[in-house]
Amino acid sequence: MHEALLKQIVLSTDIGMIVVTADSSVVLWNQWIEKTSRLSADKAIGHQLSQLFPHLTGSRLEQAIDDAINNGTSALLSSAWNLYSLPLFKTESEDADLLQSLMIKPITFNDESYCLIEIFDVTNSHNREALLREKSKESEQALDAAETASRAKTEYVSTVSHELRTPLTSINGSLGLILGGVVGEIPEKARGLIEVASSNTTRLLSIINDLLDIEKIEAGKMEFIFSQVDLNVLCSHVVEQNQNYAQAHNVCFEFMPTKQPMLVSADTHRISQVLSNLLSNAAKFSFSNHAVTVKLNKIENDYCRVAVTNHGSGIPENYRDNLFDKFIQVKGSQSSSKGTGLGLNICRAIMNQHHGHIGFDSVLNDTTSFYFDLKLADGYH
Amino acid sequence: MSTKSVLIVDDSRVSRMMVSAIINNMYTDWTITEAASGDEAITVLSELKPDIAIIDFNMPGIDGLQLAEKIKQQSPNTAITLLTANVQDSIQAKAATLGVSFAGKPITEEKIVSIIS
Amino acid sequence: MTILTDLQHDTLTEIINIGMGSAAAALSTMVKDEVSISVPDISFSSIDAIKDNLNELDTSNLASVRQGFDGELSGDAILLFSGDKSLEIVRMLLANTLGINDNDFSDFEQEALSEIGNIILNAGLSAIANTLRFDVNSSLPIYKQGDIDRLVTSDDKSQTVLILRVDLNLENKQIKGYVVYLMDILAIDQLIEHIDRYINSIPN
Repeated sequence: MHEALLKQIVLSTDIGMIVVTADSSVVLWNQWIEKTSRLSADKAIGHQLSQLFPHLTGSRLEQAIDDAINNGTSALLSSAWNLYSLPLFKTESEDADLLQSLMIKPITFNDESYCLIEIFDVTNSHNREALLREKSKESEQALDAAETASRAKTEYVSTVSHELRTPLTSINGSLGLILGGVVGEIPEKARGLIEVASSNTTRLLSIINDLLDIEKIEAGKMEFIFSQVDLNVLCSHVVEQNQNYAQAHNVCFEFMPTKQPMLVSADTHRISQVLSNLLSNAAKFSFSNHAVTVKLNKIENDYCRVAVTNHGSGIPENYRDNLFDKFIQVKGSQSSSKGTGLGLNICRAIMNQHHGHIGFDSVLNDTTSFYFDLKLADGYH
Repeated sequence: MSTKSVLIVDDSRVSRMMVSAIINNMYTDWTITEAASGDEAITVLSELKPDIAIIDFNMPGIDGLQLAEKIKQQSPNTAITLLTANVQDSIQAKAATLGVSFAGKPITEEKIVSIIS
Repeated sequence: MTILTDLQHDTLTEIINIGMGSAAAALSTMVKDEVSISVPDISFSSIDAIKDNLNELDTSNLASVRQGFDGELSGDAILLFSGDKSLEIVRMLLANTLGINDNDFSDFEQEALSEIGNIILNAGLSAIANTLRFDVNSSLPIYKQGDIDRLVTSDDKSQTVLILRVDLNLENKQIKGYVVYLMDILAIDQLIEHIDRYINSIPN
């Protein structure tokens, strides 16, 4: 390659290049360094670096240049500790704002020692890193704050729920006793009103119980008592318990038992809770005067599936991914009764503890099936 | 200058050789005792109270500064110089508070000259 | 393996310790805290057997900084530290308590470690070159992380390895590492020759 071409390349490259002789006087000062130092080549060449930049005396750069010339060692002056080895300008500002990373190498030519100084502009990547670290720190702090707040909320909810439950239980009990005739005959008009009071109290209690369940789940404190149960028996019970609910929503529950028993190891109370929840949802979202069916089926891997199916508007697309998350409620249910939005979340937690599965299939304006799967007990085929 | 006794403490034999050689060159009648560790030096001190002690900082066992303290106790008239490759402010400062002089390695004739005068 | 006499061993250790002293001083100024570096042990090995000689480190996860040197003496100098510890050190030194990836070094941190390695390796080499009167040049540091087989490599398997155990004390934390010099047998012979010459130059 022609020497003049080589020279042009070196002068115009976008890496800063300075070459000094053994007595530290400048022999090469390329265009990048001219621009960033605001010192032209004719002002720099022939002068000593320490003359051009007095603050260099005693600096790491000066030492590195000495070592290169005298000891033949190469040095890296990283931007970690040497951001401003030389006063260089990136912008029009008055402050030297170009962050640098330097490489210093000894060069021998014709038995003469020289030192090559290469300067890299790391301003952008440095600032970007600093910004990323800031953001990362902020995220961590936000996460910490959120977790603290969440814990505080859970504890609060639990405390308040307990406080609410006690008096409500008394009220419910008292109303129950009155309705049961313990204080004698009640006038018809009074009976109606008391029944309204009682059913609402029951509803309030169930909402509070939901909240408490959620708190237990989050604290990992929900207890399960497992026993062998035939799902046919369990489903039959739960369906019967919820028949009033069905009537109130103008639907009826139909349970089709299987000929053989479906034995599983489960917490009867909790699985009943799951089925109740699915039944109540099915009823709430069903078209009037339709049936809600409960079917048992053996599926692959020795699981039994309990499926609750209704005819209704179905689950809209935008709810399908988050249905089992907390506080999700599908709007526009046929009935006016509102829940806490915790039901399905609790169901999922219960199924997880049973190493089972919960899911749904939904065709808009047709049938929707919510199902849960439990492993059949060992030795059963 | 009258004859003096020097104690050289350094775990490096070459180092001891160098210091010893330089002093011998200048003052052939001085007595030079060598110790390879702080413990050895303490043993020597029970017999000998040297005029000058030149001790290395970085040694296995007790380091140079700890040894210097001991020498000050047992032989308060000894002029102590700490020699070290690790010339840091903190070590220099500690040496100063003890009243101990300080010189950096590598060892040169000039340094030894300034130590012993 | 190359066997040094006690005196040769002592001389080489002392020379390197003096070199490391100035490295420690330089690092101390940079990080604004007490730093000390000592080289308690040196030994020789072959490349194949190197794993057996690096007892203080988990050789499957190492951080290394490597510099080549040439001139009257040629070879490669490699500084080896524990991969986990190194990250810790660098973050501590840079007063960064939060990394972006907890397991990876960013370019920034790699560069910082390269600089530390460069200072230490240069110090060792300069001490050997200046005291023993060698004319050598060193090249720029290269950072690499991984298993020992990846880091201590050579095209020439017959190369001898001079191993220095290094204890680096930084802000009351001690980090153990090794500096490994890969040289061919001729270079080792020359090194020993120069050591003898140096010993003989001390008037007795």
